[in-house]
Amino acid sequence: MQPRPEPVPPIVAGAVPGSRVDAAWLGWSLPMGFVALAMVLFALSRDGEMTYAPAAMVDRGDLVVKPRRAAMSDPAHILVDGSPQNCNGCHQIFQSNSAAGANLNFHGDIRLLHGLNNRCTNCHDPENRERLTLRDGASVPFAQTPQLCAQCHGTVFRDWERGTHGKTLGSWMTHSDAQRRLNCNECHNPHSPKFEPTRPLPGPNTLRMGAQPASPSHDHGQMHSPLQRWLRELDAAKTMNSTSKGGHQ
Amino acid sequence: MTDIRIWEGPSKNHSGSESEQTRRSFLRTGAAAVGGMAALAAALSPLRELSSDDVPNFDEFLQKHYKAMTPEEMEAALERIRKKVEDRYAVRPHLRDVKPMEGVEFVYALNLSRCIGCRKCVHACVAENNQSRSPEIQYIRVIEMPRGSLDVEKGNHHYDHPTVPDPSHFYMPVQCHQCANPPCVKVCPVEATWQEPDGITVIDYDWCIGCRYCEAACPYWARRFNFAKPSLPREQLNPNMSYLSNRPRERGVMEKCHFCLHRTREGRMPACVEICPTGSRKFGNVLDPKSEVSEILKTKRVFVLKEDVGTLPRFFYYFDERYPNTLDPEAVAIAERLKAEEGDAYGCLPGAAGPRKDFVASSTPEWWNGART
Amino acid sequence: MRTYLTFLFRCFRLSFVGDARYYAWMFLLTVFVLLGINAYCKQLVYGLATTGMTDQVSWGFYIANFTFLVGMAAAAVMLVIPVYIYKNRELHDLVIFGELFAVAAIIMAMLFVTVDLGRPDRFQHLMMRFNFPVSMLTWDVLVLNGYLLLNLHICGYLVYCAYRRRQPSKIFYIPFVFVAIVWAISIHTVTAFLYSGLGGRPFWNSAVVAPRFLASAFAAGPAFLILSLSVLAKFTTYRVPEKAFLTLRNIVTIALAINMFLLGSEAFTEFYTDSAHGASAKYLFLGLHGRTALVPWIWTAIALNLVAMVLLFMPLSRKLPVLQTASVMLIVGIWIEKGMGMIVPAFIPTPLGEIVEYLPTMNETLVTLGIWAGGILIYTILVRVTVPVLTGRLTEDQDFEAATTASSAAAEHAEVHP
Repeated sequence: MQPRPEPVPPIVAGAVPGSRVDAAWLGWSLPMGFVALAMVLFALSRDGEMTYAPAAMVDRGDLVVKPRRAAMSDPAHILVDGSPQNCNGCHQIFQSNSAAGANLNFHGDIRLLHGLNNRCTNCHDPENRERLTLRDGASVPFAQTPQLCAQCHGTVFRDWERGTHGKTLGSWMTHSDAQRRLNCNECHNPHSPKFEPTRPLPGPNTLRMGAQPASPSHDHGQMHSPLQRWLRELDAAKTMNSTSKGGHQ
Repeated sequence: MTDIRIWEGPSKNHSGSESEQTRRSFLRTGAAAVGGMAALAAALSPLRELSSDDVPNFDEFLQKHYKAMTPEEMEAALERIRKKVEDRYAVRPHLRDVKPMEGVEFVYALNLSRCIGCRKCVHACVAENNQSRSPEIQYIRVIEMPRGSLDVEKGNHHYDHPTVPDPSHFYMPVQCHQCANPPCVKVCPVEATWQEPDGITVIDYDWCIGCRYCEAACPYWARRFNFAKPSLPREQLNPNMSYLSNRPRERGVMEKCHFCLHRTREGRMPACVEICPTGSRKFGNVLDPKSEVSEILKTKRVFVLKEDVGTLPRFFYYFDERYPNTLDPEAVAIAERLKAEEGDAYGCLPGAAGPRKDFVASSTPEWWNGART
Repeated sequence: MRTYLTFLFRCFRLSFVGDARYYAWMFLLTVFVLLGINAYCKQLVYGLATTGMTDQVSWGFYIANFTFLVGMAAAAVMLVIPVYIYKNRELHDLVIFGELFAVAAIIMAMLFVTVDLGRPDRFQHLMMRFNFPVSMLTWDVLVLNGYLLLNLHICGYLVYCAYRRRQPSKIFYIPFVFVAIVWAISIHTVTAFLYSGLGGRPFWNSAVVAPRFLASAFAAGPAFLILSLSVLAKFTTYRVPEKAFLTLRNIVTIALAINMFLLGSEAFTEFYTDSAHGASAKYLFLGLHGRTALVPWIWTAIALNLVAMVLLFMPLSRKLPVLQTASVMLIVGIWIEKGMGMIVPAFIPTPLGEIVEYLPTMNETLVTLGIWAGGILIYTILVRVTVPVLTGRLTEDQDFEAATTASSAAAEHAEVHP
């Protein structure tokens, strides 16, 4: 290749003898590169579909709004072999063993776990089983359960009256007819008022990539804090105590 | 080194015929340009996957901010959304723009002594508010906390016991606190989120640009972003919806708890309150002195989460006082003493009720014996 | 007007002219740009779910790079200050390269914000309801665009004057230069306030964030200029005075030392107090509850910065290769410290104490690389057309032909006599 006749001689790299072929080959490499890139990109173009953690399985039945339990009707009745029977129908015939609250011959479904209050006639009117009785001997209908409970659970009753304990359905508007504050026995089973432990609904899985593995030292802070340890021990002791008490009863 | 200049001026020729050189050079330039365009087209090719449903149409593009719309424009926007929902879910929604009520400021209270951590509120909320099921978006997070601490960092979000409550923990659900001084509203660059007169902080889903600054600003981790197109099975769509609350969202926008405003502004309870099996959740109008939340604020010791950040939440937590267990002699003794000293300190019923000494003091109370006969 | 259009057209044509290395370099950048565009198209189609971001860690790689680049842009003035305030005439023309870099960095920063948006199609909402002055993000939009315009004006005006062989009229650029100096500080301060104003994120909620940002920017930016001037000196006819490197070295050394001091202050406050607010810092430096994704990164960054600082303080670094090594180290170090080390840990643990770690996805990384490649492409083109103009080879009456050959000649010259 000869020196070129430009005014400023370019000392370009191409001015090497025998490089013409390379020049052409390399010159085409740019378009070729683009075409190769285009092919790669086309091949990858659908490679972006995301997969997500599946939706949480929740039973729709768990999400129906209703009182926690059906309260006893007023006047009271029970179902015997599927048909409603009023209480006095039996109780006027059979003498009930009211002393033995814990082991009933009838009403096998009732588990009486109301602490020391373990006698039927503490609450049920012994004369008329379709009514309840207060401590002063007054007979009240089933609809007035709160008055009965209030005899012992004064603070809770006070809170329930104010609306700071218990559940309100329908409306938040105090003057609304739709608002309904549930009675004690629409949430608590009077024979076993403490709520049973329940199965929790599925936990969060908001990470698209799936849950991260459980943190290796989750109890960090609890194990080392003396306060925490003390509370745990106290807890363990309490649980043991209550089980032994229960056994004694 | 080799000269592979593509753009060569015609006057600049190497050895060989000038025309041939020019032709080759031109050819190469053209090829490079075509190749470049092909590569660009290939790079853009994923856009083919965009469905017409994803791309805003002209009207949507021109839709104004919620506060700037006239009633007619709002009706047009609502109709557009109704149609879109119908196209997508084959359900004609009951969609409207529910306005706040006069003289109402909503407040929420949550009783930590009662919450059992069953997560029903979480899923009732999802069902009510048409959140994306997969990827999952939930407004409520229930944290299982060890007793003796209110530090959320010690909590567990992913507790998975066969049954709850776990005896050594308590449960703290967290959702949008509808702050009176909301940091999320402050930071939004386009005013897509604001506080309504009834205290609810809302989002115009059609205005949000998805910068997620509000998500970074929220101290309660209450805001959620639609990282992907929300997926919601047709049969699970809740057709009762409003513009600012639970209408289906688009990809790329923020959302969060809005106290179920399509329900609460019509007098109903939020979904999480209604489903709560323990009555831990309380909701009402704080301007009404008779409302449950007013009573709670008056009579309970309430606290708010992260009070130090100055957000003034409208979401209060409270614990019950320890109710004197009438069967616990010690507690009753204390209650009796306090009652004598302070009157109604422990709320024992005036007159008729109140724990009787003999109820617990004697192993066989008199009325008890009477009951046996 | 016609002259100006001719100028623009000549610049456009010139940007396609170069030797094999220039083409290889531009092709490489183009490949990354196209890969980035491809990845961004996927993000448009499938949403930000294509990134590693979650509700827990809602800002990641994009915002980290944005923060870093705003700093780089702001640091361009570190060449301007000696020239216009201390009348350091030798560096006069180099200012233009600094400002060109600012232009490229600002464009990159704005692209990073744009790709981070969930709804880029609603960008016009910014014009219609601009939450100014309440939202710091609106401040950022204003100052970044203002800074871009300022710098475009200053270097555009100076380069065009050189093209017309005219003496630039001081009144048309000196006031802007001084505004730009203050403005540069403001862009990074505003970006820092974006984070430090959030009470819900204790890791950011610290007054030292803005000074730290400025210090790290004034170290990384001039370090980048050192590197780009080295490239300029090697591959073009442009003569870079040695004094420029030494001035920049002084700036970098001091800024880096201040940055390390501020980082230390921050670390001391967090760790000595040992309050719950230090959880993010603990996560960053030591790991939290056994999760340690960022720990190797931050210690690498600190090690790089420390070594760079020691090198810079030694007379040894007056030698160009040592200076370049130190520059590379500290740019990488600050990029980690200020990007991933500043943005991500603020989200871990979440305000509700959940620990979710963050790792950018492939798609996200490609978009990031694409923007970087695009920015460097812009900077390369800007420098490519500026050098012949400043050296008087591309002027109104002399088209790029001579310029081409000259720059190729220079390239060849550099090859032969490195």
